[in-house]
Amino acid sequence: MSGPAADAPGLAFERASIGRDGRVLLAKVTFRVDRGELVAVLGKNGIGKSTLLATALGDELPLAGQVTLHGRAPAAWSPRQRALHIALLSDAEPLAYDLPVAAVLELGRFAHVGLLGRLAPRDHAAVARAAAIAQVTALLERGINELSAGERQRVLLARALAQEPELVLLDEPTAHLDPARQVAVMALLRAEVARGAIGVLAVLHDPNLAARFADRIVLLGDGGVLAQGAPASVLDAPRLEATYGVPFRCAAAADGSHWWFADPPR
Amino acid sequence: MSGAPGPRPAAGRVLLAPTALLLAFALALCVGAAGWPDEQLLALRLPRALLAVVVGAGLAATGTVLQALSGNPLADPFVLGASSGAAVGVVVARWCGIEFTSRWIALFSVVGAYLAIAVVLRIARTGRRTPVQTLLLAGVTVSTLGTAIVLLYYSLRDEDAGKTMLYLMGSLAESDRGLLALAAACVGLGIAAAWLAARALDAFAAGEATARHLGVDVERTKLAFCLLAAALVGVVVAVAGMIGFLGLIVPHVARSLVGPLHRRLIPAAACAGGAFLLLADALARTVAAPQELAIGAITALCGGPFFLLLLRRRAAERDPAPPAAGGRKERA
Repeated sequence: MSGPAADAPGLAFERASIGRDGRVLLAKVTFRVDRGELVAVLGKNGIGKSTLLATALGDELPLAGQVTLHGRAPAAWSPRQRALHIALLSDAEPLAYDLPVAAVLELGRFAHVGLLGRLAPRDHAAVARAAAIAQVTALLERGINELSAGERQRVLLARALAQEPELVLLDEPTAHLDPARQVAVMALLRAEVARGAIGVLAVLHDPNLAARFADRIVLLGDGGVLAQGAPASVLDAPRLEATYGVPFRCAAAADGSHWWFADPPR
Repeated sequence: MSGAPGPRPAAGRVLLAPTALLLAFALALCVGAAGWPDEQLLALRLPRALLAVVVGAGLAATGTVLQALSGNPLADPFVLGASSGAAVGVVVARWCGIEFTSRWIALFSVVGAYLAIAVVLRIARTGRRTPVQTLLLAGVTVSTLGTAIVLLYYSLRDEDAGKTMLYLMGSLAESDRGLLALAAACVGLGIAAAWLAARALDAFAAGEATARHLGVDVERTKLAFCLLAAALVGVVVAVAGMIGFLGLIVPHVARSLVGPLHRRLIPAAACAGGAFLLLADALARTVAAPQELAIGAITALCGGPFFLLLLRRRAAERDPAPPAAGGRKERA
């Protein structure tokens, strides 16, 4: 939190070309995510959403333009410093070994504790708080691979929160969850964002979840950003059709909110 | 699936491996073809028992580290080619005119083991993942290549034939006191280092990419652990030759006792490895006395079927017999 970085927290893409192995998937991407906001990324499969997250994490380098995390290129941070700023919640595959949930959460403190340090009381407090927020306190003694995919997802969410980063990146966080759990996870993230604890960049599949919970939406089309801004200004039928390649219809609920449905391809 | 103990295994389970080690040590000192002559006890059986502990603990700890690093419960120094890499190192050292009892031989075998591990991990890596099948194939290939080089040497250098054969079969029978002390020091330090860095090994259990996102310097840590594994396997092969499958089985046994967290697993595996090799050696010395069985054959006879069983179980987990539609990721 010192030096030239202090005036530029958060994650910023500036005319960045996102790609892998020299092949550009998304050109001239410009947006930023700061603490206290939830930004959703929508786009069809294979468009480059995961590569976008990988670039934010420093696993891939931007092919042109700039990506900065807290004022520096993500790859320029040491892994440990970077992990203090940014955490990832990705798909909830079983692990190679059946670690106890408590140990999985404690791994979230690696960046704070280091390789050789011991967990201090505040580390245990952070783990306990994260477990309570994600509602996994009852699972602490279980093995992570015994859990259902949905439970495992919540454990990984707790781990990301235990990491106490500025930003949490989510790669399809609701993929394994039933509708109730989907809304619960998003509401929980929304609450953390609202109290200013974190900023969230979430790759989502469902435009309706994005519309309901995001401050802003980045809509990806072929080769770049199609539109971005507040959900109401971004989501319309022609844009969604351009994004996903199928027609969309809109229905209004009694409370005036709008809901989007995909139709089969024409 | 298996009754994995929770975060805090009962004290009895934690103490089981060290207790087994002590009992096996006592047994190894008592058992032998010639009964109880005191001088034989001290002059022959004691160093041999110590050697068994060092070798068993070293191989088991290395197996544990490699299984964590590769995220693959089928990894072990023998399967990944490190052991035969080390044996090639020994042969190269002999070619350079270094005596079998010289400490320099350990340096060569450590370098050989490191090269083998580095080559196997590099080859097996496709993009960002290390698929199990490629890892095992690369390991087996490097292992076979190494063994071929040692066999070539065996057939070319008659005066070394006997000793070379011992390297191929594994043997606790002959070893130099100086080398034993060196191996004990390396194995002790290596296990201590792995124990201290246990948290990083736990992070690797969550996958390499995840470990990086949690703040682990993955490349550096991997290099350090590969060097550590190579150092352990190298000195172990220099004193006892290639002893296969011990490093594969013992971590599984230890995991079922104390759970998968490496702060407990590393010491438990080291103790269990020592105990296992003491017992295997006692068996090798007594079953067909005064003939001595090859210790590597005994560990492979125990370990081979175990390996196949694990492979079978993994395959069954990957592709459940009637493939449930779209439900491959779900494991109810």
